[in-house]
Amino acid sequence: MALSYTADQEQIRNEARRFLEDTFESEKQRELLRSRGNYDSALWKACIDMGWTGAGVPEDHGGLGLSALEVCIIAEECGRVVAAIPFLAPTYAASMALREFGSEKQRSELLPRIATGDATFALAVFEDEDGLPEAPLTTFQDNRLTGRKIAVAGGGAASHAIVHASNAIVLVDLTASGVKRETADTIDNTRCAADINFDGAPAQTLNASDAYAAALRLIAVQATIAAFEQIGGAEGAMDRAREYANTREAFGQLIGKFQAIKHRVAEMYVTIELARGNALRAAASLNSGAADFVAQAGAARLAASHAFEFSVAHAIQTHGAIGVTWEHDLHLFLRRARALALECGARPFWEDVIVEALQRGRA
Amino acid sequence: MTTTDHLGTYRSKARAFLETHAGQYGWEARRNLSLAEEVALAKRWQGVKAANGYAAITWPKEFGGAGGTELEKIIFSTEEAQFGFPAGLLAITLGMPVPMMLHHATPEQKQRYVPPAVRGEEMWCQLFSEPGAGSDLAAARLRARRDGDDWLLDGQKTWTSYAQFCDFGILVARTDPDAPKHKGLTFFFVDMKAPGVTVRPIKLLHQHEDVNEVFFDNVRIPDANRLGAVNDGFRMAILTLMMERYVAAASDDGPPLQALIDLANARKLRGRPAIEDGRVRAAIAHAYATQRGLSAIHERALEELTAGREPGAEGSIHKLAAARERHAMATLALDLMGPSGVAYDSHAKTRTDYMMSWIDGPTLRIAGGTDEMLLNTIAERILGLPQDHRPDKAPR
Repeated sequence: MALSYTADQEQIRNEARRFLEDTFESEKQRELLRSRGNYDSALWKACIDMGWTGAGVPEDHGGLGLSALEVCIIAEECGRVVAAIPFLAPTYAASMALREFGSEKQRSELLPRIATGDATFALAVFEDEDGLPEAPLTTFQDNRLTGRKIAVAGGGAASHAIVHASNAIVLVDLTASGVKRETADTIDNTRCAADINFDGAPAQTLNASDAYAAALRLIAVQATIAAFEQIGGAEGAMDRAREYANTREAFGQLIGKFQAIKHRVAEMYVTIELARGNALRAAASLNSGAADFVAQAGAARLAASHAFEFSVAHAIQTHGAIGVTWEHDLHLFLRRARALALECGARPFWEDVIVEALQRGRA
Repeated sequence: MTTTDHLGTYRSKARAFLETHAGQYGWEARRNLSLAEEVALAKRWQGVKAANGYAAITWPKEFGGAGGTELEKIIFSTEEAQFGFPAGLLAITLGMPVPMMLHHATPEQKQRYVPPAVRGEEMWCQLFSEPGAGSDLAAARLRARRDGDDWLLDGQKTWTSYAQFCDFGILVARTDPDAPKHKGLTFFFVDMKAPGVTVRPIKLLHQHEDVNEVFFDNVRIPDANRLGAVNDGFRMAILTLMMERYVAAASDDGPPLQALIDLANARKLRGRPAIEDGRVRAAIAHAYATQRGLSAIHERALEELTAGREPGAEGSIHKLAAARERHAMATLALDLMGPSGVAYDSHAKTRTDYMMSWIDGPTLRIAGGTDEMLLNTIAERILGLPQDHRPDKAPR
């Protein structure tokens, strides 16, 4: 099981990091936070130009045909600069859905459009406070979709969605009639989240025999990519804490000399490395089609959500009062950490998924 | 044949060898043994390994080693740990003191001391800590005074693992009391049976007597027992502690996750199986994530070694994270047992008994580097944060 990066993958990382560091403007990000349903459209367009949207699309459909791990590397670098592009993980999950459950017609129609960035996807699976409903209220009949999905990340701007209905996994064009999106103010307005109402919207089914199992697999894919984004975010927060501890002086010395500060940063590293180990393993299981994939994605999800939130909290504490100002970047990380922790299934849901997998011997 | 093929073959041969001997030396054979009996078993097991090319896998053949690679060693010890062989009792002997001899002793000394240790005939201890110098190694006060061609040792060491069974030990002693603390130490090895050496076991809180106080009363050692230059002992001690390039995951672990799942299936909370209770499920899920994360870190290090690269420093988090997780799991397991959880058997093993795993927790978080020292190491060596304020350090 390959858990280490190849030279080519490191190359992808370096390019992505350089590009994102050059383009990141926290001022612009703060502006996007002020109103609902936003994302960084210029950055997303640049990502398309970099070919990132084609990373997970097979070559015979106009993509680069790379493995999940390359997409994960890009996600990690996006996380490091809290990039305001909420489509990366769900769009990769959608390309997986098309490859696994799509008809030849659906694949040849949509995969090339994903590669060119013409089609972006959201995953619409959550309905209420329950993680992933066993019996969704959303129904699919006579090629029409009716129901409501809550706080779909990227849902305010994506062109398509993969929807978990009571009896099927369906593909829906979000620009069609019968679809109504409502954006709302959220803790992180750069996630472009929307409630989506389907009122007899035209949709087509994907060929998944067990809709719940397929939906779970898709959010496990999304969670795996998101875990890397969370790890990148955690590292971004940790790097800021390190830098501050190495430059800020108090009581006649660098604050990094105080163990209370020093150990906070070391603890961030511990949580991040545990998350990284799990996330790499989840990506490897996804690539190899291992039976433990969903449980391992859950482990990555728990560890990465924790690493991000823990690192941000302690980075803010390291900074003192400057860390809680609007002008400082840390609240961008704080908001993103909570948003990502809620986006593809919260902690209690994944805890249950892991235990059930352990009980069934699939962990 | 590729590296991967070779290692696969190596692993299956090793496993066959281990399976053959598991009954005689593994978990079952160790049940209810006293520490002295375990040590005797460990020495015999080491002899069996030596006869089959599995002792000191990375060391040169001329000293009884197998002349193999770091990876083979890690693969073997990982497999070995699964059967519960008593390798841990010789981990110090073969992990630090004898490798230091291999690197710094004369050719004659190497011929005399290394092969018997490889065969499990002689054991070595590491005498660093003192009552007034634990983590602060450079504060050692044990005196070494010149007397002709010899040195005379006076003072005390403490927390010395297995000293009561050891034939030899390595130590740092103060040779120049006037120099700044890091600059007045010298590194020696010593015969533990020499006149004037007294070993007294210390009973730890779980009644185990693995560690000892060792007293030196005018103990005479020849200058030939000095390793490294006079007053260069602190650097030598640090080299000792950095000896292991990559330590395979600790074999002395708590009960496996499956044991907790079995227990949660068997016990009830409010009349329902405990496994259905959210608090229990959360704990199991988080234990799973921690264990999978740690084993992935270990696996990555192996891949790095296979590719001929040095693994990163992530291994340093192992003890820190594993000790916490072990404590959380043991506490939950005891909670699930209810009132009967208080049962205690001082012969039980941490691997198979939750109470032993639980009570061993505080020791685990102190032995071989406290949590605080590990966090300092991570912060300074990996993350580039400054050293603590150190009034004891000589101005540069």
